[in-house]
Amino acid sequence: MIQPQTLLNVVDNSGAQKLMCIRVIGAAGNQRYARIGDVIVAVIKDALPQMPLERSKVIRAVIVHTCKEFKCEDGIIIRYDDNAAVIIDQKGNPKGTRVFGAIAEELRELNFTKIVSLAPEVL
Amino acid sequence: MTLVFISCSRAQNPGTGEGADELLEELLQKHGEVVYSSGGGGSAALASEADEDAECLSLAVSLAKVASEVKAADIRVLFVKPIVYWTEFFIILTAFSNAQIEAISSKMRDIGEQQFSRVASGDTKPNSWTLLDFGDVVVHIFLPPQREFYNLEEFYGNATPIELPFETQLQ
Repeated sequence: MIQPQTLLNVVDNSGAQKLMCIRVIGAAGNQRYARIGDVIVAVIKDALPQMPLERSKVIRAVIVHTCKEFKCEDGIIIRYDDNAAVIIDQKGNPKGTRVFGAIAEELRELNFTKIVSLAPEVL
Repeated sequence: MTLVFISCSRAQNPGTGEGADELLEELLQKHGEVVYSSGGGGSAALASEADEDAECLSLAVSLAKVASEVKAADIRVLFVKPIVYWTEFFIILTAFSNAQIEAISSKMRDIGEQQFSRVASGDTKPNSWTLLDFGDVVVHIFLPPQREFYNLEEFYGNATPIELPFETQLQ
């Protein structure tokens, strides 16, 4: 359940470390929360030095981890220990070249197979 | 798996060591009776899995051939089933313009639908990294800078490359 002001970790090597959500794409009247597979607009709160992405830059990201459990269609429930996202551009291409940690396979059904193909482990 | 039932009239204490193994072997041969065998079902499952792999391989080679006809460069087909469970083959190729990407994508979708009855999901518009997902075969079409940037061949370096029965252009 990601909403504006939520802090998220970044699980790719784009250079950013922490994001703050400022808008959920597709939310109607601020009543919707983002979950795994949703795209958000976020601002970079912390970034590594000497990298293309800098602090205070507004970017788009796709949620890949949520502390709120995510119920898959086959009955499996996935719950992570943190809220995390992968930074993407306007066309949906990841900004980084590698993703860290386990990624849910549901992202493939939501047309984020590029992120799944960069992940070391798929749940 | 095979279960063997042994019935003995007199209880014996085989002890341990090689003598015990020989005694048990003798008992199995004299009094053993096969009560369950699952050998027949296992071979049928393996055969169907081999058929599916062969179909996926033929789809992958057909898509690679189509890409070669549209002058895509550096076509690689990787067998990634031992590495990832969610797909079997990756096809990685380089195109040089959005028009070429569009041509490759449309021809691949036509081949997938007409010959193999598979509808591709993924990118509908050309992109610097265009992805077509046929389920067991995933196609990655890159522009030259993006192919070098993402470097998927290094990430899947343990995958077995599949030799293609035609010559491919090198970048």
